[in-house]
Amino acid sequence: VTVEPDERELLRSSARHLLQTAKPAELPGALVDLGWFDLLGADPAAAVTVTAEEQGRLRAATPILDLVMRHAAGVHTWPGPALMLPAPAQPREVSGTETSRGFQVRGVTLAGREQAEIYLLLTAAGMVAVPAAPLDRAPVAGADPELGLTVVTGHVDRRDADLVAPAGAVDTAIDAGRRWLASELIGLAAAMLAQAAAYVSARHQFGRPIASFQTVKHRLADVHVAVTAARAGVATAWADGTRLSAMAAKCLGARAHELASAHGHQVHGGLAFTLEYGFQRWIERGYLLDALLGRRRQLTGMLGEACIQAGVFPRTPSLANLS
Amino acid sequence: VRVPAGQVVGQVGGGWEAVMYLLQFERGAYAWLRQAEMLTDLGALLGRAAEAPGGAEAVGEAYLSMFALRSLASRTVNRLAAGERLGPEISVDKIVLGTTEQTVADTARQLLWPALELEDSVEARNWRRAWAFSRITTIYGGAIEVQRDLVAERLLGLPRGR
Repeated sequence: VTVEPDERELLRSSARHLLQTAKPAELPGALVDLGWFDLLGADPAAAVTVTAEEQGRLRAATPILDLVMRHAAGVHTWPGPALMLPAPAQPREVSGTETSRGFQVRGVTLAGREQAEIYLLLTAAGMVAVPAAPLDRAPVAGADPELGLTVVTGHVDRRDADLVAPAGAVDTAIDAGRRWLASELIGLAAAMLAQAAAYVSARHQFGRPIASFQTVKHRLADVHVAVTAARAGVATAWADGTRLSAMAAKCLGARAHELASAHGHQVHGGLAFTLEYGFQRWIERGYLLDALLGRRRQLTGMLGEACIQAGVFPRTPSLANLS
Repeated sequence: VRVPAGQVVGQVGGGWEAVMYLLQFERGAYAWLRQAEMLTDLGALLGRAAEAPGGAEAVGEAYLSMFALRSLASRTVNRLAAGERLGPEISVDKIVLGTTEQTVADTARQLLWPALELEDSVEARNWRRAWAFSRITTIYGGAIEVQRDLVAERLLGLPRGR
């Protein structure tokens, strides 16, 4: 079953409506009520791509990524424990590390999951459910307090930990999470491109819109190229389902966002520096999303390592599997 | 050259439109062909990339470009096969093709360093020629500046200018 173009537009407008109206904590429940798990089963590529792009465009902060990752891991429940993403800047993508007595926890949870009583840790052994009570929680302010992340740290005793999904499910969840983040970054970049294009078309200098100068329009053309390339990369990642393609898609999303930030800032003149205008909130959101599940520079090196070890570049997509 | 009226193909004065229509097929199929060749040619250097300083990052960046190009070209070839007319959208593929050609050649230069600069082996000579040739890929067949104008004006709706 695949979602047809007109259904895709319907999905886009209903996702947009929900993201604009529902509270973060209530949003996944609202999606589940709308048949989200059925849609994820039937056409996950369309469901995730469309919703994540809309979330990026609107700069909404929701725990839908939690829903997407648990579904990919085979945990089809909602409400339920809060999935704990690995804390950024760790050598391995885990939120729990096994010790002699249990699990050392170091992770982040998404907006709307602040009150969770049980967490799902991503560990080398698999997905592990642990109680929240013994753990410390602290909201992340940093560059983008509106993202609503919570840092969770501490130690949980082995007797309180339950293995709910095997190690392979953790990998599947991380791949799904990277594909979501790729599309959310693309949504941010697309929104920034639209803002920049509107600004340079309205702003006049030397008697004409600055958008008519090649140096301005070529910057924005390059952002459009990066966004389009990233979307094609996401489609490949969904079509082949491989770990490397999910990593590559996230890198391309982050690259599109970084280019939209650099060129968008420049063509706005001094305006984008002001807090009131708000453009920099799209910039900071993207850098925070880039930090989740492996930042671009780290993933790029890992992609290179994987190609070197294999001795050949992956041949993906095939001509047949994207149509 | 005088040509008998009976030899005219299509409309007189309709050549430009025919060229613009046909160009999308050339761009789509050629990009698919080139990404396959680049994956093979740069792939032959992977065995030596582990020793090259910054090799993993350089290979990763090059792979990202080729992955993006292959993803775009695959989509484009499929859309053309389905009878879609891409129009100015094909300029995106053309830009990604040219920049990827140059990224791949730059990566080969880095991985083989200093062979391209100092050596006269067949491999060094071949990559020297390939590197030089890659510089023209953002010029021939419609310079990258023209493609960016098309993207900005026809896809983003920005005003025409000088």
